[in-house]
Amino acid sequence: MLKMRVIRKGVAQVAGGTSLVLLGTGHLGCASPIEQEPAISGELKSQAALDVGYLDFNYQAGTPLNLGFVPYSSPDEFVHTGEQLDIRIAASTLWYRVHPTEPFPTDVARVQALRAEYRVIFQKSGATVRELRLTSGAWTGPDVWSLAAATPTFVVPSSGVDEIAFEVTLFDGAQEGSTVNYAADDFPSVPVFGGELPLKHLLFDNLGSSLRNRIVERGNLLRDNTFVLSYTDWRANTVVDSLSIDRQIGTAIGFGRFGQYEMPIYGDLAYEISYGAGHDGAFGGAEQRLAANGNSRVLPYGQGRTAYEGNVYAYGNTLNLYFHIKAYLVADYSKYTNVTSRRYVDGERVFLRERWDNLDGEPNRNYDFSLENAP
Amino acid sequence: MTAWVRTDLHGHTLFSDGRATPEEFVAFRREQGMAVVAASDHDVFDAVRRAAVTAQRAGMVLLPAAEITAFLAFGTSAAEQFHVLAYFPVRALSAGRLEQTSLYRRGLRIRERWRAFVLEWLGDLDPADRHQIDPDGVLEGTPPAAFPALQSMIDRVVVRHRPLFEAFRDHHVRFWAEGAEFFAWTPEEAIDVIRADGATDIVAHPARYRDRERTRAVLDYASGVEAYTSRHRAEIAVEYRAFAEAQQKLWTASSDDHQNARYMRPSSGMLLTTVERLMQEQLPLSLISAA
Repeated sequence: MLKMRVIRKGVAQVAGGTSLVLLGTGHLGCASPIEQEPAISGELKSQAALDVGYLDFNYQAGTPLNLGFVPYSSPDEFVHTGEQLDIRIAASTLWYRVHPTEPFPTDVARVQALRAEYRVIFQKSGATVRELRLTSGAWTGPDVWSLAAATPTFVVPSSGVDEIAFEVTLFDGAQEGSTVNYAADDFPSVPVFGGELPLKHLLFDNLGSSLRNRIVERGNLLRDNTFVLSYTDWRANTVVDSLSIDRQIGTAIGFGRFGQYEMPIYGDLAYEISYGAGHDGAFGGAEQRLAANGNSRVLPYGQGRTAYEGNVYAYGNTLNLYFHIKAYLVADYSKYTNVTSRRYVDGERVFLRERWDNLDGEPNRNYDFSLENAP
Repeated sequence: MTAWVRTDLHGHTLFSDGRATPEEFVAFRREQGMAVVAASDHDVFDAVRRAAVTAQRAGMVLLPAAEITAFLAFGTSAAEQFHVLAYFPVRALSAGRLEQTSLYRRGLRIRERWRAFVLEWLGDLDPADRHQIDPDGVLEGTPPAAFPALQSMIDRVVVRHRPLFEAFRDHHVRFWAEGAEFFAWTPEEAIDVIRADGATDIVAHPARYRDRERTRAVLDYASGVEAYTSRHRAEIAVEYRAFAEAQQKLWTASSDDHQNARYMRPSSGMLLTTVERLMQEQLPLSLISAA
């Protein structure tokens, strides 16, 4: 039996913390009371102790400021309730945000005058349920080029949270007035999984050529409850063998360092993905279409990625699933200038092929999931 | 029995003269079924960490790399650029090691110099022309990390003020020709720095250089040669591969892609032994495609 020893920390203390909380510094506005989840003892070797990671505050493509919080978590890429995290920022990132046009100094002491303050806002359905204020304290790295500033660790609340938002202030302690403030809307929130139970997420994706499926919250799907079914674009690529599809839609004049030249231009692949669901082996209704979601919680850091999703109600003892994928080529010429030849009409959607995704690709071999009662 | 790995170890992103984002660069190669890739921009490493994140999430290996610019006969009428690919071991991605290398720091300085170079050019333009290209004056306040690199700047000029394309294209050559601080070194000197940084040197597209005698001398000094590339015809590629094998040097097969280009490569990819020499560690068995 797993035994967990929990050390409860007092207010304004965090496991491993050094210089945790800034109240009333003036950088983050009005401070509010701070609560901290119980920290988990370092002696534990439990499942919970595996959920340790950090949030890298760094360049993130496709966000309003090309800046965001990317988790590096164990044992998967998702942040879970109860996970222990800290926030790290590279010195060079910090410098260029505060002094965008000044060269990065080579003096370590000069760089270490930089600070990052974070308001960490735990949310449920968009409402704040708890918040923390952290400041970067510990610099690590042997020289200025590899310096990074980390906050003390904190623990994601064990329930009632579905995402983390952030407000950030960056400033240079050696130069009066060098302060940059970021609002919560400037960054995408970091999804947290496990705080919406009994809602779970069943993700069908791939790792290279290997197809895989995962219940993000772990365990089994819950009987007599709805779950979110997600099927990724990259998996669809793999199943339809997108590599073998000729996506050229014409040619255009390109301009480069050696002059102008004619280049091939390509259309986009689009999918229609449906699923068939059975319960204890009995398949009833028609296939249901999954909706394309370019802002999926299971693909929060994938610029341009799409998950096809739907809510599915699970009942009985076993859920059986298969998928039906149709691939189309979309001839969008609007993103090219100087088009010289067209294979299709602008905006044309050309049906290419369809495939079924079931276990081993064999008829009547579905993906089966055991159900259990909600706790 | 010979093991092969599907790779593309030479291509460019929007951080130099390519158009793809690092994410698009990796995603395109993921669809091609590749296991090991490198975004090797000219002299800068800005794409590396973003590409590494995408590769890691796709179950691929990202080799940190850049295409280092050196010169033959810098400052003379016979001057020509000479490119050497620098491949860092995968472990350079951990604990900020890549950022400690002299080539990475050089890349940051080059990036800053590029920004100044473009702003100087804009400043010398007629105000009406400058307004066409940068109507809001945002480039002046854009930091080096976000400043448009070569291809992005070309696209900006073409889209906003096409008549200045040729002028900018002709002007940009001066960035290298007059950039003695960064580029007035021989390929051998660049190779020495690559090695001192713990990386492996591979001469890029060797058939491209005019000075055959000097090129041969550099090849003799280098650790390897890019045999298969879109810059080489098939028979040329075979010659360089034979040269490398005879000289017991590494040979590589890459695209030199600037925008998801079609390119030639041996159907099986690259030798596993070469890939592992560049990675400086073993490749996971699951990524070895054929044997």
